[in-house]
Formats: sequence, C-alpha cells, structure tokens
Amino acid sequence: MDAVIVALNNVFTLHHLLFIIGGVGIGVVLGAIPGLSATMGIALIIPFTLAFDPVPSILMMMGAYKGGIYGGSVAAILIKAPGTSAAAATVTDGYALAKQGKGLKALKVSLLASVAGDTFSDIILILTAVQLARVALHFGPVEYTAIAVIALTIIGSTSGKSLAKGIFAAAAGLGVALIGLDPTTGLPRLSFGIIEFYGGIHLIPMLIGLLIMSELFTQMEQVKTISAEHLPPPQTSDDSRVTRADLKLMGRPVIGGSIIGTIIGIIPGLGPTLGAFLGYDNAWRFARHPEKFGKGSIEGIAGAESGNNAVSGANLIPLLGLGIPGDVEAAILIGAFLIHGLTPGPLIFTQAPDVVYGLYIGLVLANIALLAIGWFLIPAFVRAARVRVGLLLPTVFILSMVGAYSFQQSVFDVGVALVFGGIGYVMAKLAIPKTSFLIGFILAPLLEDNFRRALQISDGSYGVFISSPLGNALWGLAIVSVIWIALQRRSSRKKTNQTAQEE
Amino acid sequence: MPAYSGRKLAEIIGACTLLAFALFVYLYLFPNQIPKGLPGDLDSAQYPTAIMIVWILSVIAWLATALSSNVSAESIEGGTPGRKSLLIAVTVLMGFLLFHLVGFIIAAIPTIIILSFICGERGVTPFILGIIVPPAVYVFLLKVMEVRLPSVIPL
Repeated sequence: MDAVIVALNNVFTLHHLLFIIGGVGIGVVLGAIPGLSATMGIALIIPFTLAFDPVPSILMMMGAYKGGIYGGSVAAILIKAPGTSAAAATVTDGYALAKQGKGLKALKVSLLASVAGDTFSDIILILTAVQLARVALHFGPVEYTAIAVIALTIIGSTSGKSLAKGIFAAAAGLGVALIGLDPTTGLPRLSFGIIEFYGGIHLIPMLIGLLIMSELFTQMEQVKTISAEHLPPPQTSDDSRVTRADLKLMGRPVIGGSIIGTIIGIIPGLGPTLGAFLGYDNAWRFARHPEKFGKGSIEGIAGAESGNNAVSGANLIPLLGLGIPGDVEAAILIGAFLIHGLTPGPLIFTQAPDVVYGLYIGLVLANIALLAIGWFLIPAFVRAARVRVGLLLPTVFILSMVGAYSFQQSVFDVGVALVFGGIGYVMAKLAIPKTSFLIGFILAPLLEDNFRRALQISDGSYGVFISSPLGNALWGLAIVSVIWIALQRRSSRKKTNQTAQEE
Repeated sequence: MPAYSGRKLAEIIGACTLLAFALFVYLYLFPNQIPKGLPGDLDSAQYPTAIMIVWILSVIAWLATALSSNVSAESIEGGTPGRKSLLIAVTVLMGFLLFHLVGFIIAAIPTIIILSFICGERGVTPFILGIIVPPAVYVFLLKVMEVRLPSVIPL
C-alpha cells in the first residue's frame, strides 16, 4: 500500500503529468504523419530521457505508443494513407466517412474506441501481471530457457511472411548479442580487439539504427507528396459529432475488439496490426449494419481501433511478468527499463514496486490525456497528417544521429546506429522481420545465462532440459505453437493460391 | 540455368550470402574469437554453436523455399534500390564523416539540405531548415540535457 501512495505522489506532479501529455502528443503527431510511426517515436525518445527518472521516462514512451497507434488513424481517415500499419484496417471505412463529410465523426469514433481498448487492456494488465510474476518466481534455469525459446519460436514464426526468415532473424539477433564478454569466463568474445565491443553492442544505438534509420532510408527512397483529395464539409451538426445512436453502434465492436486486442497483446509477436484486423473482422461478424462495411461503417472503425489499441497495455503483461517483450514496442521499453537501471521481470514487483504502480497509474492517466488531446487538438493533427515529409525525414534522421550519440556521448555509437540502419534496410528489402531480430537480441542474456546455468547444474547433460514437469509443459507448448502456426500458414497459402487461380 | 526474376534472385543471393557468412563465422571466427571455458567448466562454445546451427539450418530452409517457390509476385519494400538509394547512402556517410571530423553543426547543415533535395523538396525551405535545425538541436541538448555535441564551432 505504501508503494501505491508513493507512486500516486510521484505521478501526480506537474513534471510527470507534462511528460505523459508530451508523450501522447508526440505519439499522435508522429503516428499521424505517413512514413513515421509510434515505434520510431518511442525509439527516438529513449536517449532523450536519460537525464530523467525512470517513471516519467517510461510513461512518456507509453504515452507516445498509445498516442502513436491512435495517430495512425488520423491519416488513414483523412488522406487514405494509414500513418501506421495498425491503422490499415481503418482506412476503408474511415475515408469513406470522410468523403461523406463525416471526417470529424470518424476521428472521434476512432478516438473513443482507441481509449476504450487501451483502458480495458490496462485493467487486465493491472490485474494479471503480478499473478504471472508470482508463477514466474517458481521458474528455474530450465523453465526460463524454455520460456525464452517459446517466445523466440512464436515471434520467429508469426512475424513476417516466412517461417525460415523469422527463425533466422531470431538466431541472428542472438548471434549479434554474442559480441562482448563471455558471461562465464569474462573474456572478450567476437570483439576483434576493438575495446568498444567489450561491453557488447548497446541496445539504444542498435534500436535507433534498426528501427529509425533503416525506415527513414526506405521512406526517403519512395517519398512522394500526398495530394489530399478535397473532402466535403459536414452537412449537419450530427456529421461532426458522435451521437447516442453512434455510441450504441460502437458498444459491441468495442467490447469485442478490446478483448481480442488484449489476447493478441499477451501473445508474443502478434502486434497491433493483427489486433486491428481481427477486431474489424469481429465487428463485421456481429454487426447491426454489415451492409455498411467498406462504405463508412462506425462499427468497423470502432472494432479496428479498439482492437489495435488494446494490444498496447496487454503487451506489458509478459514484459512485467516474465521479462519477455511481446513486440517491437515492448522491446524498446525493455531498453528504457535497462538504461534506467531496472530489469523487467517478476522481481521488479519486489525491487521497484513504486515504479510498477507509477506505471499503472500513469497508463490510466495517459488514456485520459489521449482522450483530451485527441478531442481538442484534432485540427492540429489534421495538419500533421498533411505535413511535407520531404522536409521532415532529413530532420528526423539528424535527430536519430543525435539520439545515438547522446546515449554515451560516443561517435562510435553513431557508427553502430548507421551500420544497423544499413542492416535494417537490407532486412526490409529481403522481407526479414526486424521484430524477431530485435527480440532475439534482447532475450539473448536471459537465454544464455539460463542455458549455461542449467548445463552447469547437470554437469553438461542436456537431459536437464526435460527433467522438470513445468519445463516439459513449456516445451510442449513451444512445439504445439510452432506446428499450429506452420499449419495456419500452410492453409492461408493454399487459400491465396486458390483465390489467385480463380481470378 | 533458369532465368530468375529480380525478387527471386535477390532472395537466392541473400540466402547464399548469409549461409556463406554463417559458415565463415562458425568455421573461422569461432575457433579464434570464442574463449575456451575455465578448467572444469563447460565449453564456452556450446551456446554460440547452438545458435549458429539454428542460423545455418534456417538459412538453408530459406534458400530451399526461394528456389522452389514462386516469390516473383512479391514486391520489394520501397522498390528496388536505385540511383536515389545510392545518393542517400553517400549523403549519410558524408554526414557521419563530417560529424566525426568537424562536429555536429557543420555535418548536419549539408546533410539536411541534401537529403531534403533528394526527397524532392525545392526552393529555400530546405536551406532555412538546414540552417535553423542544427543549432536549435545543439542548444536544446546543451541546456536541457547537458549533453555537449561535438562541434568545432564554439557556441
């Protein structure tokens, strides 16, 4: 209880509230600009929060994440160009409404659904993360090895279009993490005599290179001016506001989308895009007006937006409970925890309860901030969606160089970021999922430490990995999940081929 | 030899390169760069070897898929790299070298201007942006975060 009071006192300060509001604002603006994203926003924020306490820094990033996912829908609705991939499900119905002069209504429906989805998943996070952490406290090295392997196999199998590329990317991430000091002998490993490599590749410059710079290179290659079609003005006052009838229509899809998004968020590797499409699909299945889907359906927007935003809170459940990031954004948050001297995982509940409770309170406040900012500053975000990206991309590139430098005030880190920018660019061209690579890199210490500890306990016998009932259950889960995902992929490939043949 | 489409060829070249790199790392770098375990300890190469085996097997699976399936229909994200990509790469490298040699402000000004032009911007706006943004970022970092970016210009 003391920790909760300390957390309340911490969060309800002007300084912390400004961080939350600032994070949400930055997220919405970045999400609204086609070509930029929430992921880029939070990766860019990390190095600039080094000088601040962990709670406001992490809250700022969470605010940016929540704001960014909603922001993606602004461009989707107004200029038919989703600011983020998670907003792709909103494009058809959102833009159709905008073309009927109901753009503001669509934005407000999207905002309400986003906040509802966010709040639902945050409540689930608050109720379940600590329970998961209690279970995780019984884990030994075998179980942790199994958990890390499960996370990597699921992420490797689900992210991207190819199972082989997903697994390769995870192995490559684990491979890059080998650079540094051997954890047992303390001797340099794969460091080639370069002193900067003795501490390993640092997460922040790698994140900046892989997620921001590579994306900027790709965007700069294909930058084009978005010519927004002139949208008609609203015909009646109801065209600009959410009526009681609209709220009734939104109820069912929002509940369904929130539940689906939360489940998707808990499972590593799936992410908000899938949450949005499944939320949209669910809304269509149970719609009161299915005939309006594709032509400007309130239910469609509500389902998709609650589905994608509900992923954000749920993503923190495996992160706080097990120390395992569910997707790229959670992986970035791990980086934020680490640079502030905190290790996410079951022990954080006993080691830094004020941080955890501060985070919970801040998440709820971020939802309120998103509602207020989104509602009152819609015109500003409309402008952001039409900003000239040709001017913005070079500026963000310079900021990313500065971010990489300011982490340790080292030009070497800028070089590391650029190298990973190049690697990320090639990965994008070859459709190798960056998520798997990044999560492989982040989970490497957990996997290596526990893998080696388990072998040390058993004097080198690999039989130790199948000696624990809980561990065996986890291995079974890993095998079942990979087989299930492979079968799903096979059936969807068959469907695609059949459709192609029919056409 | 069959004629492969651009995408399929890229997949095959990518997989072959990564396979060759993995074999080089495993056969040449590991023996030189992975320390032996302490006396009485397990071999320190066990874990890295396991990772490389997964790497090699997954790349072989990728290569087999690329050779056997029709990937020509898939599009390459952002299109095939061309002259614009080369210009971006050269500008970025130039920016990094200048950053290293003469500091942030002098590096950032031409980088912003040239990249804006590559992105299709014209007129005076890229110049204004290039002149305003770097000093503003420099001052912000110095005053707010107490981070002094390298610069030969005394500010």
